[in-house]
Amino acid sequence: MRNSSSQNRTVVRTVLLAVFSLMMTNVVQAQESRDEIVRQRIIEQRIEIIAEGLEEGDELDFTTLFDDLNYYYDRKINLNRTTADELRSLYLLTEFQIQSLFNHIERYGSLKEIWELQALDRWDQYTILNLLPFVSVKPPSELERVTLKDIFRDGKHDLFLRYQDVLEERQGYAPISPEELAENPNRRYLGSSYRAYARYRFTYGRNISFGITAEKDPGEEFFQGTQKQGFDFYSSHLYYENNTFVRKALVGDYQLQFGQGLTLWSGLAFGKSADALNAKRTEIGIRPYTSVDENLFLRGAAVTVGSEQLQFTAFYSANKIDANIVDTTATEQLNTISSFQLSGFHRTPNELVDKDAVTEQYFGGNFTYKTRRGQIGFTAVASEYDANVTRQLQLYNQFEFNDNNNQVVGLNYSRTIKNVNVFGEVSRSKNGAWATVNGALIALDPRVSMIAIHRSYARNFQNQLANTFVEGTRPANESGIYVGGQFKINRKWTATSYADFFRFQWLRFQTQAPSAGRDFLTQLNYKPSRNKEFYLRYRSRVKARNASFLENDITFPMPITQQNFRINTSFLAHPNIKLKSRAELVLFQQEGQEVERGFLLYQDLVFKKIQFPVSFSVRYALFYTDSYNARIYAYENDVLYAFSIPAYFSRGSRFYLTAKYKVARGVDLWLRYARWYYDDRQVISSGLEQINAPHRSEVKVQLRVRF
Amino acid sequence: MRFIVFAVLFLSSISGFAQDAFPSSGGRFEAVNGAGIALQDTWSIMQNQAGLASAEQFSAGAFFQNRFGLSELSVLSLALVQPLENQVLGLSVNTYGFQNYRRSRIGLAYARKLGEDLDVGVQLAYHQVQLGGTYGSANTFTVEGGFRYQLNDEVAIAAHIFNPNRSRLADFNNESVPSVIRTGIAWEISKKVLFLAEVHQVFDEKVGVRTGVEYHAVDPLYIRVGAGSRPDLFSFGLGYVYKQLSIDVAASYEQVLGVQPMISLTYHAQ
Repeated sequence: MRNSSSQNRTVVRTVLLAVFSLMMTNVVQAQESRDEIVRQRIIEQRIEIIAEGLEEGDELDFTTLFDDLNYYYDRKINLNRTTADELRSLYLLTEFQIQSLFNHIERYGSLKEIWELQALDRWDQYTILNLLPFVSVKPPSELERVTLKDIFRDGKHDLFLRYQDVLEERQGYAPISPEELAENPNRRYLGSSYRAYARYRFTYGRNISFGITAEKDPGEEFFQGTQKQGFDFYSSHLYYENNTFVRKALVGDYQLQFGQGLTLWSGLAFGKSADALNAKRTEIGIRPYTSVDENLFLRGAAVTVGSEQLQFTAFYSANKIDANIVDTTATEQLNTISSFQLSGFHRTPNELVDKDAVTEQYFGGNFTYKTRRGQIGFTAVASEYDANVTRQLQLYNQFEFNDNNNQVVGLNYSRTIKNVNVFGEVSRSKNGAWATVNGALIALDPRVSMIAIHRSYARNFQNQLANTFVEGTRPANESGIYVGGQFKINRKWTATSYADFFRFQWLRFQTQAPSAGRDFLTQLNYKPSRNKEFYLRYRSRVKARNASFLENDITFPMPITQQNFRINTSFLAHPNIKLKSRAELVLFQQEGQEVERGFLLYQDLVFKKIQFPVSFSVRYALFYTDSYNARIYAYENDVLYAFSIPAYFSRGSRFYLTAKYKVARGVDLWLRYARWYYDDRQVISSGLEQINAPHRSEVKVQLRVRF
Repeated sequence: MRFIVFAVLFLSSISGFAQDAFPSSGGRFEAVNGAGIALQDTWSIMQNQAGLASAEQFSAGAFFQNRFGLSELSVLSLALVQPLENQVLGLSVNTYGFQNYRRSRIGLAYARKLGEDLDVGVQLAYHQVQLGGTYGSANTFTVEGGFRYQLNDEVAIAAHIFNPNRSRLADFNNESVPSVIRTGIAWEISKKVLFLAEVHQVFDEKVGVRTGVEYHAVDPLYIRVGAGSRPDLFSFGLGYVYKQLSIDVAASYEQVLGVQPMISLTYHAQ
């Protein structure tokens, strides 16, 4: 009796265990697929948010940010063994949340499991859910000794190949008689119309990274003619990072980010956005460059040495950049340049003449003292050109940089005291001009946080390597005050808002007098459950620009009011299908002129199935705008690592299909077809980009191999 | 010189107009950019008289504001509040300008509770505009009134209308005192954080929005900040409570015109 019952129990237990483990695998798989969606949503939203803050959104390069998030997705941060810097680089946590994690670990010891995070001050459920894909909780083990053999055995290789082309014929590639071309060699592009991109990266944990990126832009030649070396642009780096005296070392292409970005910051940074609290910069220091912007990076070597508290960084960069050279009487040996070319295109003889015309040298250093609660840093940068920089400046931009060399020094700080984090930077350029930005982030209550940032940049402050909090394009000729806040009303509702008031002491492009403006944004999010999200956004901006009419032959700035209204919904309609819809209205009006309206409506469908090799994303959009002024930007789902946030304007429709096929373990293939169709025109674009048809179709193919 | 005289007169008249529509009142209100329609305070007398209905003791305050560093553009306000049985009476005085252009008003307010959560209040005010030299003066009466409703423990809503009958100051050019309608909320998010917001419309103009936050940082100290449109202003301030006296300083910033500093002292009887 006893025996059989115990046998029965064993059977029951085995069955239960089997069922349970089956359920668990399902849970784990479901979890993975949800993580995948969460990851994508987080990354998409971040990128869209930044893109909207920028005026021109067409060709943005967010590879680095995407890299970071994907990197941590694959190699989760161990919360028991991390640094404030590492957590900051996720851009998902506030200073207070980071602080409260460290306080918790200090007080109660290492985290035992991830859900302990719920007990932390200022950590809410959504923060944790957003963070989960990127972090883990493990015992805080020491770093093991790494041998070269380990590196080659455990290192990861990642290879990308991409091809894209426009199907319609553009003017620059149209047939032309040899005589006509000989007469006007710039009437056609030299190369073929496709874009080719290749990227290889080897990484070993956080410790080693080696990468090569190559790109051929549309219209550039490939392995022939003017591009005998193959691609038009190559970039590579070799990077080392460890917790030893030499903390970071890099040879090749890189970016540097320090303080609030007023003295030295190359590459991407967050500014004003619907994520109102995220206006503070969080520095990374040295980071490898793997993108394809051909001008905005440093090329040379950089090293950081020191301890966790005291760090010293030194760098040197010499990069050939594009510039327009003017022939002057050769009294000096130096060339004279009249402008810098930032497009990175080398498609016509004219563009090729400008290629790599001048060597831009940067060198300098940073000294930082860090604690868990704050830091203070000093940065110095010197730049030098091997040419006479004599750009033809106008009245409005006469205070911009126009010299053969420059030096900028700056001091930055950040400090958390109880529920207040103060931060800022002050900087001075060679010509004696000052700039400063200072702010405070305050957690008023577990549900309410606010941020205030004041900035004041002299009209003649000159820094080519700045990327800081700014309304205009560079930190010069601007002062203003920004106040933002976020209010978590309850589990489901969140309100975010900011107000920014700014002034330009001097003239600006298309603004022939000192001017002022303001920018308000309010967003209300409703998230009834994990898979449903709804938000309403209103943004109202006032800025001055020259009126289009003349009074006594004089033009003068008149305020322009731009209002955007947006409704956005996204929800999981079926376990495998996500639907996203958006309607956006823009009203653009210069005082005394007619209102210009723009309207965009789109529907997205995203299909993803666990254990199914194909996933895809489709959009159909309709747009109707009175003018280019009333254009609307919207983020588009693209092949991995490619980004597009095009401007929807004029009248027409848009369609795209991005599909991913998992060929085998570690091998993914993407296909994308996208098409603009315009109702109100027969010709698109102008010049060499002109298409004599009312549509523009683009095809992209991408292959990724990981091993 | 002529330009300065012109500028002063011009500024006086536009901000004088604003002074009628949105009388400057109390450092606390001004620090949250005037978004105090649903507050309960001595200075509610200038904003929404319903805010006086819960007053239990006598209180009195004085307020001074300087606009953009020009002494000609100063505002002086006084407020007196006296609760009687089940109702509250108040007296408000507001004067703005200088010898050659002065706008003044004196108002008598009445407020009471209508049930547990609903307060109402009204005010009758006498307005006078004095111009220098031979131009003389003009005057008129206005009425205004509003309510405040405590929705739950955290949220109160309020609305107020000023000069609904469009009182005229002069027949010339149909010059009238502006009419304003406002509605807003006060949300006590926690013991330390008070969020304020309102929308307002001046007759014949576009709708404006004002928001503010009051943060009770440590016991006697309040930090306040506000922003809004029409006019586009950013404001901030500090409040300090010393025994029965509250001292509230504020400054608001207009991008073209500059900074306006303000201070008020309010005494609360025990």
